[in-house]
Amino acid sequence: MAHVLPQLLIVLAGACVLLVIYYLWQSLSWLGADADSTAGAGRGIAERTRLLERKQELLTVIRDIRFEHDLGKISDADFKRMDADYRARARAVLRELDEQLGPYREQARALIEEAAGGAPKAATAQALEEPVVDEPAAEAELGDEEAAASAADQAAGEATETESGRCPGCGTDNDQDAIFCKRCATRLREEQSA
Amino acid sequence: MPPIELPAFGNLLLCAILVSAAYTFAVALVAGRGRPELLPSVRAGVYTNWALLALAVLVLAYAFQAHDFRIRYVMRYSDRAMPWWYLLASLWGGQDGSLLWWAFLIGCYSAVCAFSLRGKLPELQPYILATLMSVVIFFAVMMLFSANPFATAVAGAPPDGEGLNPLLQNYWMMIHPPMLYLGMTGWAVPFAFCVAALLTGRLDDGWIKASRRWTLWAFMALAVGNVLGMLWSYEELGWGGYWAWDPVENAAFMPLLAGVPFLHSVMLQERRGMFKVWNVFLLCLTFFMTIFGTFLTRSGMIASVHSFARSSIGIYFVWYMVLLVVFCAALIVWRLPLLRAEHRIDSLLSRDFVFLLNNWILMGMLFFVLIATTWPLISEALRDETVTVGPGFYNKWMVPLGLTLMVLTGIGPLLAWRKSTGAHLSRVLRVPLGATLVVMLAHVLLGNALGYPAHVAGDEIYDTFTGKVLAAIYGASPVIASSVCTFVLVGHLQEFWRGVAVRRRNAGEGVLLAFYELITRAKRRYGGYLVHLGLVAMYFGFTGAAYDKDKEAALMPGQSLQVGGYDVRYDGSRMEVEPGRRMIFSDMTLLSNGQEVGRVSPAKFIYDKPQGTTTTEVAIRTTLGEDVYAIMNTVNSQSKLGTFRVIVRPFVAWIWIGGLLMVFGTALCMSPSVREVLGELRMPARARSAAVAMTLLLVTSGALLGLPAAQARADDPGSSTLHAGSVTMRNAEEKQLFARLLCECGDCQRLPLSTCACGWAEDARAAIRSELAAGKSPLAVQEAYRDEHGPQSIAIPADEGLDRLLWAVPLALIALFAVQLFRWGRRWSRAEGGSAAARAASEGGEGPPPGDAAATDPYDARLDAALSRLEDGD
Repeated sequence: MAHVLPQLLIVLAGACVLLVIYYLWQSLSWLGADADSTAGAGRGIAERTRLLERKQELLTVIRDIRFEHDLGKISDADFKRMDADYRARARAVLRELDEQLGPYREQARALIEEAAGGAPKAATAQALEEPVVDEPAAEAELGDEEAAASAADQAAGEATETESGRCPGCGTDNDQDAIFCKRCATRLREEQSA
Repeated sequence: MPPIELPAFGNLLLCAILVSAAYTFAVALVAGRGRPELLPSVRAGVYTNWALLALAVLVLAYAFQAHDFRIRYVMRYSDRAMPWWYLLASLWGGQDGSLLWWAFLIGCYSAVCAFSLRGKLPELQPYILATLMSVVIFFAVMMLFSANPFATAVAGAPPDGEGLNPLLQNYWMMIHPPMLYLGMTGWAVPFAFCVAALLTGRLDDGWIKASRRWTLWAFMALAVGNVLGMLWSYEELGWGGYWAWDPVENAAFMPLLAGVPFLHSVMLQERRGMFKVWNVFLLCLTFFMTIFGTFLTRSGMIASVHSFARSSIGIYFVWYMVLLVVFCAALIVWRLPLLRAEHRIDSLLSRDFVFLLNNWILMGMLFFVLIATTWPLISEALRDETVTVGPGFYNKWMVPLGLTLMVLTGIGPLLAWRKSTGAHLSRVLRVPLGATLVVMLAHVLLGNALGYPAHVAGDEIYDTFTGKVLAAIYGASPVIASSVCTFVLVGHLQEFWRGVAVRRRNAGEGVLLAFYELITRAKRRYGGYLVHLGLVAMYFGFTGAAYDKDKEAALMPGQSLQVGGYDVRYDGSRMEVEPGRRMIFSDMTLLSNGQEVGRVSPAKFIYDKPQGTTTTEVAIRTTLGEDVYAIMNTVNSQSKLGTFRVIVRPFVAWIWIGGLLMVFGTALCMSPSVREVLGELRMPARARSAAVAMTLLLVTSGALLGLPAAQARADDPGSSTLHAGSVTMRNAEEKQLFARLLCECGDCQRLPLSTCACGWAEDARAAIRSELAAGKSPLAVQEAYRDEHGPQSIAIPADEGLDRLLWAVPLALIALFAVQLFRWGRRWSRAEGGSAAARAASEGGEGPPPGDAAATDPYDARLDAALSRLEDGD
């Protein structure tokens, strides 16, 4: 090790030199970045993140209060009061989250209409109208409006891809009338009666 | 000599580090002022800075390996005979290199923070990274203008270097400083979050939640660093102790005393929106204490066995600390309108109020240690007289403070948030108090017979009433400690037990699964309980010091000495030679009831460089019950006659076990949920539990990996000190007196005469014995010693005059704030009579809309569904 260590240090130092050059170049090239419209979306995402985190904290507090009541640390009267208090706060946060999603639903609807060249399919339209409580991952994770937009994109993409026979999952070209992808077996279209 | 101009290249790198940090700082500020599109540039700038710091460290490391003695730092802290691992450790062995290492760690933290923040917190991110870069700028400026690790020696490159201090040539040098620095520098990240929150006005809980893991990591690293320092001291200084309240030790301890209250009181902010100003102040104070601690270590203003040589960098630290205080104070005052909140608590009998008491006692301890540590400077400033505050002072005063903290640690988890009912209190206190009573009675009745008496003789550090009170508390401390530790332990175990019982009742789970689910669904709570249990174990270990048994004897091979139930037989001595040193070992066999139970080999090492330097190597045999600590003083190479000192100290191993428990508990608090790791993937319950079990197994294995290292420590002959070793003390009066008087040889950083084994100390002890034999009182001897050598030669300032303020001021403040806290608590609990709507409105409008009938609210169903998913672990 005593003989190898100096050479190893030189190799690592060389790697650091390369990293310095790379990151310095990156930093300088980003200096010229223009302010873009995503900045506003970034702030919106941050605000939504804050609300989602607040919701999670309140849920945790409610759960802790229930647990402490089960442990007998809190009387029934205090439990009812504290539970009602925190539930009220949590409901307010849920309400605010829903109000935030309204514009994004409209945006997703417009994207789908534009991509599909008309009214969205019935299933997609229904999905846009349903409250996101039925999509626990979309509600529970951060950046829900990104998920909604990407879902719309995916729906539009799927419509285009399946029409041409290209599999939306693996990208393999299939026959235009194929029902399943020949490579990954993803369903491409509903079966049509003979 | 390598052909590359390493010194010039190193200097160039330091300039590049400063420039890149300043550039990134500037771009970050611009990004924060409405140009978020520059954030990728800022992050890339942070990565660039980190790479430059890494390059500088690698260049210095290469200079050590290549023995480039053109560089003054390499010349001072290495030589050609040192093995490669000590050459690596020399990176942080001296002032200049340790500053580079500090800056490198800040750079690492900055890079990891930048990477983890990409896409998150766009308003805070620029100011977080700017704050971190400002710290790098400070260290870069210091290195460039005062403590340059690449500075060249004026006289040119000598043929060989001076070598690393023999005290530092052991494996602890590879572990302790890096870990301690990781802890000290780690507090910069939560501090940066705090500054960013203040600058942007985003003072809700977001910054606290985002910085929580960083805070826990900094706490864990600093706690581990302190425990490793205790371990090193235990082996290194050869006096059988592990904490000497050395100023530099205190410097590493004080940030913990500020950071732990923060960890607790943020929970009050998260739950009740209270104490925002206090939390911000605490975090700024914690970071300030890390800088202050570094200043103490490096400025040389206070004598310490740890401190670097007195240098010119002190003034840089002073200016930086002034800047920190002014900047933080201005920020807090500016944001006071946003930080102010109405303080309400439901009851004094609540976990909320106990958390406040926790803050009170820890801040009291911090203030106490801070005043005592800086008292030599204060005394010199006020009356032009230097005094010394030795470990005897701290050991007496910290006992009641520590016991108070332990009592609060036991009570807090038993109480509910907001309010505990009388019925609940009687239910939860029954078992812990009962167990406490049993243990207390058993200790009182059986302690003597078992060798662990409930009461020990406490020496008086003052000849006043205060000294008598302190001695009485210390004397009763064994039984108080055993009772309090029992209370805390049983109370916490009861919490685990009751939690498991509730889960089994509600979810129908088996015991093991219920335990897994319990701790993983409430990691902060139960991780915190584990940390408390670690504290109990450590405190239990500390009490063992009251039961030390030690014996000294001169032995020929085959002869034994009896101590603490052991026969310690001296078998003989041998010499081994390694490059750079000769080692003389004495082999000893430990026998208990005639059976061999272990072997130890204390030693003396004689180094070639500095020529003739002799160090004492202690040997330790560790069991859960006690440590046998053997010191070889001398051995005659002709006759093989050896003089030895053997100490049997109970419960020491529990200190290290407690440290491991604290690490495990903190790691549990920090651990991510399964969902955080695996994203949206939904797992079946069994797979989830298996994943949890695997995670816990990995964490436990990681902690247990520390045990072989601990065992290696037990087997290793240990390390040494130049001045410590076997010091003969014939009776308790001598022991007490020698502990108060400091060696004035000018070389040992003023160790007590009870510890220092140098020639000057031996002569002083002989003279004092003569005086005592002539009838002089210990007090008169002490006064004569003070008159001859100055007030700084006495380890404990007298309880009179200005020196009385040393304890009176902190104690008065502690008492005053205790009274005030109870008054505030009663006022806040009366204010809690407001309506739920008023509370919700004052906390950001999250209350129910007027007229909202919760029973018919459509969001109730969604709320229940979300709670159900939370229970399922989503």
